[in-house]
Amino acid sequence: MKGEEQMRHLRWLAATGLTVALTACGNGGSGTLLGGGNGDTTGSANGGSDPGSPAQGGTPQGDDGGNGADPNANSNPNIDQRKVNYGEALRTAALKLVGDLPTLADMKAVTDATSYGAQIDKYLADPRFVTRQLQWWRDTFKTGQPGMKTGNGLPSFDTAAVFATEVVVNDRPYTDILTASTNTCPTFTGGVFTDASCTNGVATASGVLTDPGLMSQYYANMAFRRVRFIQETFVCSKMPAEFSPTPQVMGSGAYTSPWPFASITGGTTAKINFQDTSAVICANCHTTMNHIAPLFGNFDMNGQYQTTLQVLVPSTGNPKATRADWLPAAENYAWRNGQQVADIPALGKAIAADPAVAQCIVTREWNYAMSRGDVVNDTATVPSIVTDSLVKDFTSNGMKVKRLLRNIFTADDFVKF
Amino acid sequence: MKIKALTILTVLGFAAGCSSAPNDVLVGDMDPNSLASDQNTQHHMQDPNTGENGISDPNSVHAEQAQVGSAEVIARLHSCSKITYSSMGNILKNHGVNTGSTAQNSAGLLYKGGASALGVANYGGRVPEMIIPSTAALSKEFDIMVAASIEIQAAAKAGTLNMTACPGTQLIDTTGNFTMDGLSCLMGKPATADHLSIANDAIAQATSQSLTKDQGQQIAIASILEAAHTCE
Repeated sequence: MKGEEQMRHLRWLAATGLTVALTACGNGGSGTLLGGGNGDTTGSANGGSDPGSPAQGGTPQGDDGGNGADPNANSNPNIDQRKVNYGEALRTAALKLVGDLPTLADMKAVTDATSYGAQIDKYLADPRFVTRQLQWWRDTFKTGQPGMKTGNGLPSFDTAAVFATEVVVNDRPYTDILTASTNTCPTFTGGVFTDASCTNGVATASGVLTDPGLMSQYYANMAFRRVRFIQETFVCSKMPAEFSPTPQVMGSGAYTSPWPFASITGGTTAKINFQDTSAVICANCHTTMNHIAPLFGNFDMNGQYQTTLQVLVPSTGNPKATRADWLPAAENYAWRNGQQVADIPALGKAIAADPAVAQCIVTREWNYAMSRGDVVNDTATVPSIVTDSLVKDFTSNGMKVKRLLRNIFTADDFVKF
Repeated sequence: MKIKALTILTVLGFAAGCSSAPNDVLVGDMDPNSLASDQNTQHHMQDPNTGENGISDPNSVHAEQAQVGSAEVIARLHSCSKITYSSMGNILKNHGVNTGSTAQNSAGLLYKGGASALGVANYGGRVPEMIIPSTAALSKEFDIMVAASIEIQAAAKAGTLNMTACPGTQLIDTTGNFTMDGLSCLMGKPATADHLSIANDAIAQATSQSLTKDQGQQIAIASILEAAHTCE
């Protein structure tokens, strides 16, 4: 028996040693053997050029405003070597707009800019565009019914994406996604939208801001996750969202928010001291967040709007939040410093009027078309000089996303490889 | 005694496994003709949707981009996003591949079982479908394409290939060579004379190295699919 045990031990030792050695070799090997980043994934191999396309704001517009504009962009070899390739453009456009490759007939029909543009129009009118948009909005909102639990009072997690898709497909203004007061919980079955209003108890709906699925998906302490969702989804940047032109040295860093420092709850008696500066300057983000979050505090974990605050405070005993946990009594709710709002519908209007929101959707759609990562998660930012003309066209033509998509998919930068 | 010897061997195994020396040797001034050279190997970048839960390391992103150009240049160039899971299914169906197949190693089975590796969304975890392809996603995609090539070639040879986006199009002609329209359908973009030449050359090379013409066609189809559909 002893001999058998010894043999088992030996085999175990040998196997473990070999396994660990191989594992280490495997991990290290695959990481190191292949060298450092060479830019392959950023499209360097494709090359490209867009010598001042007016359609893309490529014409030099003077001061870059610190947004990354490159005065030498027009002489970059990766830009200069691009050539128009409608065949290549059609393939990637088809995959993005209808989720499929172009047919042979489509390929043969495209011979120039006009026929290519006509094909893009055809895709935008294709029923498959609706399905592809729905998927896009699910991924943008990071929620959708597929794979999600049902029952026990849980809402549909798909209505927000369906509503956003309906707004886009029906050529409604993009801002309806934030401000519409009726039929904000539609369903989409068999290729047909069926209008419906949300039944989660809100007095007045405000686009997806009052959607039960989103409110449930982003339920968290003090409603901060809901605020973060709004910031990253509709403004395309992380907190902090506001910056003072005159930062103040404070604690272990600098206070950079334009809000009065004492405009949020703090001090030793507060459940959460948002004025703490000992480690990080909490107020840099929370001056903005605390003026928004209480508006979303009445939604419970199932996205139902209740008459009292439902979110919890992460302090001893996890009590339900009170308004004083976010703000001093004299403070009002606000989208940004100086932009007070009374309720969620007013907040929706304030967000919709924020120029950063139009810039955000243009940036996100641009990244999508150009096969880039997400502007927030992958820091795939786009200098405004690239999108200025698109934003201008978008905002001056009723904020129609289909028109925006057409402009992007027919842009010089898109059709050049 | 044996235990001591094996324990020493085991420790040595650990040490050897952890050492970076063998890998370091392969990095840097490699013979450009070596399969391990930077020019020839897939760059295994950080998988953005793994350890960081969908967040790319900004430092890595900036380091990669700096090699291409300014932020404006980067923004104006096409990058490489993953073909979505549903689009991948559509491409396979378009090429007559049976996505419902349950046969071992079939493209359909690999596709169905590979959803996670292909980066599908996990909405419960607030994770959208992967945008930038991970190494796992590309590997799975290539496995599927290889399996699909066998199915496509067999159907083309039997005259039963049904490329739904290209009705009536023959992929392979009566001489066993590829057709221009057939390649266009495989790639989703107009094929060039170079594409045709490379594809048919693959058949010739295969047969010159003791492979069958069928195998040469399969290799060509797999290569074309992988090259064409690595990025969306």
